[in-house]
Amino acid sequence: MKKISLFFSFVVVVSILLAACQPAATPVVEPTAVIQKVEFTAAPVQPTSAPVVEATAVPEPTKPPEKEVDTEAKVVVGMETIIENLDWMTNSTLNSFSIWEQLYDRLVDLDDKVVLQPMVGKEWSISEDGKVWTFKLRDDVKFWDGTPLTAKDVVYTFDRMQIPDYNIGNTTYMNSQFNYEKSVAVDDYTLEIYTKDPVPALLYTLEGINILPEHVYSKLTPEEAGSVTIMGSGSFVFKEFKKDDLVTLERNDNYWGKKSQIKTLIYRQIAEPGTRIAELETGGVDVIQSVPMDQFDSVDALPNAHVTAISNGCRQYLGFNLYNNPTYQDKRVRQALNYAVDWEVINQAIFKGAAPRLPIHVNKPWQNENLKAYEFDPAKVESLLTEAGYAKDADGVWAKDGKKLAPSIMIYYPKGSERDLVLLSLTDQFKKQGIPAEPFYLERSAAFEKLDKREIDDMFFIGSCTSYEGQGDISDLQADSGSNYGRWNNPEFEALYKDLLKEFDLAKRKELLDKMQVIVNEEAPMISLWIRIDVWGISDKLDWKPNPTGLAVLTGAVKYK
Amino acid sequence: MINYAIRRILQAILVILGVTMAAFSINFLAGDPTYALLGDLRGLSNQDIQDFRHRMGFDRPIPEQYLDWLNKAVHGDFGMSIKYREPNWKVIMERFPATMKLAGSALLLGLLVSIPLGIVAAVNRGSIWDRISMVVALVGQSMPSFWMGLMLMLIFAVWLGWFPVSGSYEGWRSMVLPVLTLSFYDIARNTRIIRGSLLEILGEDYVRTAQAKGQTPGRVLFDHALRNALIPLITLIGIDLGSLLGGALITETIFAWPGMGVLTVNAINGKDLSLMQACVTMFAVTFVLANLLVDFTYTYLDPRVRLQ
Repeated sequence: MKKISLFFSFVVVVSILLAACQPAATPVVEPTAVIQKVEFTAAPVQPTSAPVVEATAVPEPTKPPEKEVDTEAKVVVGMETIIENLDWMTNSTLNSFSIWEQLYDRLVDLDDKVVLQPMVGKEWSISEDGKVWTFKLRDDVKFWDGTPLTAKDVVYTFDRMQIPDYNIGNTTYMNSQFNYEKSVAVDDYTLEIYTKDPVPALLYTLEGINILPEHVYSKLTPEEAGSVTIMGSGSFVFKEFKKDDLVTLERNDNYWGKKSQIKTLIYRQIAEPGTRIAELETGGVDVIQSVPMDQFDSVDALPNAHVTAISNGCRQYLGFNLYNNPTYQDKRVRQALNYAVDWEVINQAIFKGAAPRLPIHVNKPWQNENLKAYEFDPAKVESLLTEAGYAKDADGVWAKDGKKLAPSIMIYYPKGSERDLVLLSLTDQFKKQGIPAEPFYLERSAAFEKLDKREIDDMFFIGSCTSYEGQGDISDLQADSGSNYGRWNNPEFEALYKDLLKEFDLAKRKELLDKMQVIVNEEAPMISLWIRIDVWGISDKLDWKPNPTGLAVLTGAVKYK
Repeated sequence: MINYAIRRILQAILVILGVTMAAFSINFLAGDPTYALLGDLRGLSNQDIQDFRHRMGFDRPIPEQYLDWLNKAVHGDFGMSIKYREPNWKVIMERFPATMKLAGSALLLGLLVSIPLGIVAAVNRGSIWDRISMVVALVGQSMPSFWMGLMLMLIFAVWLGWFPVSGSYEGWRSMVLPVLTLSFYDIARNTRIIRGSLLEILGEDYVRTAQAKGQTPGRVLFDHALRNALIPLITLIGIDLGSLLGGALITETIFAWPGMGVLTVNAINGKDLSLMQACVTMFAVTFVLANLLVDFTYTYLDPRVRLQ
């Protein structure tokens, strides 16, 4: 008996040791699955008077003849987070906007191709000085209680955004882009918006502002608006909210636009990726967000689901301390570091080839298509650093005046996350070029505090999500911008940016943006890397394609029986 | 006895104060909450940031902010959650029952399984049952709870389809896997403690005397030995409740169970300071009260403590 139990214990111990000694799973080098990439091919919209168009067309999904559409379908979406409270103005997460998009209407909206379309605002014009926008509103939009949506509701919404109780999170950012002075309801369906300065990209800000009913919200305290009452006019009606658990929406059968073919839409908060995948596999949910790249193949192989990967417009880059570190104030050093990145290896290993290196920090269609991304070129690294006065020391490390080129790179993403893996790969590549870079980890808010107070010594690894408008993207490099963490200040760039702020003509805006991008590409104030990819797991019963906004908007989705 | 009770209650209050003070300070050490609430600072000027800090009261000295919070807390006002836009007390009361359901069930299951297992192991020392119990105990204490939870989910929810994967929508069926996950460690540890304690007691002279007097094995075990063997376990129940409440965080995340653990983590990540403080206070009060109860129960069970 003793011998048997001794033997058994020995087997258990050895098994545990063997398991612990297994090498870490190596990333897949060969991309084995097709990853759909969506290109921004649509032309920029005209910001001047737009023709009257019918209600926003939701594209008809193609229906295989043998499948019957379930018009009473319940669709469940598994998300990392949902809304925080019932007031869209005080919510900050991108995920919450997936829900607001379907509960509310806006003056304009982005379609599936991220092109602006008229929504409640059916046409508009701009004054000569560019500071007054006049909108004609649709007269058939009603809130859920049947009250018509009129110009005074839009005025109320804009004014409410300025009140400190609601001017937090994403609303603060929108206000900074809005440059709002006042708005006036000329009549029920005519609205004038006055801005302090001309804002050519105003429509891209308006597409994020959900219109609230004045007759409801003017009577609510901030707490009541956040926890008690919600009223919208969207394609779905709010039914239920359980904090950190779920939000239930039901189809608005009185909606003015194209009605959804889904009866009930539930957004569930499921933080753990493994749990989301398990729910998709068992049919507990129909869509899941953020499938980890290392689970791409296994989720795509599920008998009842498939995976779709799509760029979401959020750009990742490495920035430099350009305000008080002379090392990185030298353009040659910045360019050398750009050439030291062998992005294709990282792209294949981590992203299965779906994330090519960005030439510039701007999304299409505003990206200058003549620009090429920095390619991996060790010879150029050597020649640039030599020209900058560096030489390899006895350790094989580039050094100048006795100081090694060994940047510390601040990162706030969790250890072991995809972005952490990218940075570790990059530091490894830098080391091989004789530039021993090291990451240093900070908690997110501590990281932004240091960035804001200019306390980062060398470099930082960060992302920026887009407004789908070139000015918004490139404003990260404008001297006064809060998100210009490296504090880059180029006079030529600034002059062009000043012109951009006043230019309404789209072709001229593109020209200005192109010139600015050439300067950025040459001066290399950052190391542009890649656009993040959203990987969605979708039930085979559901006909839905995610779009590059990263939002889980399912108004146009169809579920089959 | 009354003096003892008063002393323990005063100690409990000091512990709660210490915990809340530590939590408050640590939260500020992790960074200014302004930056967590404002996001990535796009489009914001330095004046915008300073205005926000002033509005939220973050520009006051930390001790002043803590004393302000304490003053209101003593009057029952735990502040408003920035994220949920509701009084923190209300937010917690909505979620606390869900966590207590999990933790309480796990505690109960832990006791119901570990006591018989420990008895069987002790009474049949050296037998196959003893060995099996100890292997189960070893495995249970070695496996991390997040791994255990995912394995239980994979086997019983995904492969067998016996229970839902996550959520709290199917009544008792939704509780089975999270409760099992949470109780595994306790079952393992408590089994070993009961076995060890009982083995020690069964070797005592008074037990031998009872056996010599002709008492049945059952009477010897349940009337003489078990009561004394369970005393260490009573002490552990108080600590267990604290660790179950904390451990529930991992289980709640895996099983998407909307309880206090998830609420606290979201409050910390979102720098919802007042909610974070309220959650920590709630955990501290629960833990301290449970241990107080255990201490008073202890004096009832063990006359030696009463006499001291």
